[in-house]
Amino acid sequence: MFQGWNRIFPLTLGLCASLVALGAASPLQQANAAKMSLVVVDQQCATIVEPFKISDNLGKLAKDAIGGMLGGLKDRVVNHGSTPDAKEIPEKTRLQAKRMNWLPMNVETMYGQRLHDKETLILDREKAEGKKYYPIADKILEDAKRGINAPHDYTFKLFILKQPGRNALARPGGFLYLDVGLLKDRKQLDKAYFAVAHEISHVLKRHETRELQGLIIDSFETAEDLKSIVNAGSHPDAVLAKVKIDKDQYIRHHMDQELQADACAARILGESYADNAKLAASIRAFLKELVPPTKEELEQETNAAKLQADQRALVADAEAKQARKKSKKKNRDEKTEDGLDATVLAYDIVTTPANRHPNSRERTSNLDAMYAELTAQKPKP
Amino acid sequence: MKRTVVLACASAVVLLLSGHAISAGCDGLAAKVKKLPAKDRNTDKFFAKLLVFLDLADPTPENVDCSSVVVAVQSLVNESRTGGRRLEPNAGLDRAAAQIEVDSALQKPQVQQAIEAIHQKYSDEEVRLLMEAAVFDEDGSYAARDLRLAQLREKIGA
Repeated sequence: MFQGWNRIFPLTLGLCASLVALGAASPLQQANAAKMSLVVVDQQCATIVEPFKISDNLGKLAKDAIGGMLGGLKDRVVNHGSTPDAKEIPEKTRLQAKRMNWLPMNVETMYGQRLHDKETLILDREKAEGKKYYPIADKILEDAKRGINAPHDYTFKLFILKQPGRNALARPGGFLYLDVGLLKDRKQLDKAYFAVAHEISHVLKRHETRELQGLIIDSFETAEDLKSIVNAGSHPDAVLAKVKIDKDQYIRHHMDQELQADACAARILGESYADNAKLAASIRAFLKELVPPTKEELEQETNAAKLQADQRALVADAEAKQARKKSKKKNRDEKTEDGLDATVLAYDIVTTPANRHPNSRERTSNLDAMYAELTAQKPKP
Repeated sequence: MKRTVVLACASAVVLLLSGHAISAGCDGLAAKVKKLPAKDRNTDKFFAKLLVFLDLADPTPENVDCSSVVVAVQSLVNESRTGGRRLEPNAGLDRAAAQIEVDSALQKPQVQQAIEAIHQKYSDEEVRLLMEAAVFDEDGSYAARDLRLAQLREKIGA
């Protein structure tokens, strides 16, 4: 019994903490917490594996947002074994719950498996082409895994897709896919290494997982639904019951997550390869294949920078308004709430990354910086 | 609903006109086609026609792998991927490169034989394109497969 509780307690605690976090902290703390959880703060991928243990995330959140509130929350959970009893989940608590890292591995793997089952182009290992290319793909995966320098709970599964292209794909739960086009041409193998390391990075940084968490939280209508989370360990299907699997449902490619996955890939390969020449070859092979940014993409890049500057001004304005409202005694609570919403919203806009792949210039600049950092630590070939 | 009616009518007509059973070589293909999610009216019409062909003739000629026919059929309705995070944006079909792959594949005797068998067995241009796509899939010529599927989509107006 305690074994089961040990599993569900941290999970419940983590989620519930997220649900009360905004309500417990000051408006500015809440905005900061929202900001903190939105931004890819580790752009250079200092840590390849996103902390998985609920307690790690809880600690991170508690530090900035919850403070001493957890003791009371813990008592509530232990004594009553229930989630917060509000009938509706407020929008801002949904936001916070989406940003935390609380999804149990079995739920993530089950969802990844469901997506995998819909994949129609998997090359059969037993067919002649499968027998030829799977050993190569398996070796790439094994080599890349050697470059992961931190413990994690994922079991990676690599599949080859009967696709003529030279792309790769990651799905929740450690499902990785490589186009056979990357393996047929030996000249593409360096890129194949980068591709596998990049996709592993998406999984270890839990980029897809956070999107899935969003889908799950959005599928919950009332706080009552949150109870399924409590039993996720033994009934993962209940958590996913209302989540629909649609095509291209959450393949928004957040620009900063892509850049982070590139950085992590470089770090993984740097760790895996004995010399820098191989790392350079892999990065080069990847960058060489990228299409130069179009005029439209360059405009997009410039506009995004301008928009971000405007949004920063919006945040400053919201913070100033909030400060003014705080100083007024009349209708203070209501107005503080308004101020909070404006600030959180503003932070959300500013820190929500562009939903697009970074262009080749952005990726090149990022990887150049990573290569410089990694090779500074190792003797040059 | 509309699609189900179209498929049911097509199947009923086939049953009236023909006593042929679906060959054991590609068991379940018709059932799979019937279960495919609706995409658009023209694709549905094509599937209805395909079912007629599958019932009247042997579903696949020799040298055409059944699983490749399934891949070709499913690709018609599954043009986009389900979830996942890609390394880079997917490049579209390079038709010129795909045509080179078609020409190269057609040099192989087994591909040639399979394509000839398809042309003998199926008079319908659209069904031929689908089956040719299956042949190229089996051969590992995936760009050639995608070219035939693209041509089929254009032909049926999908």
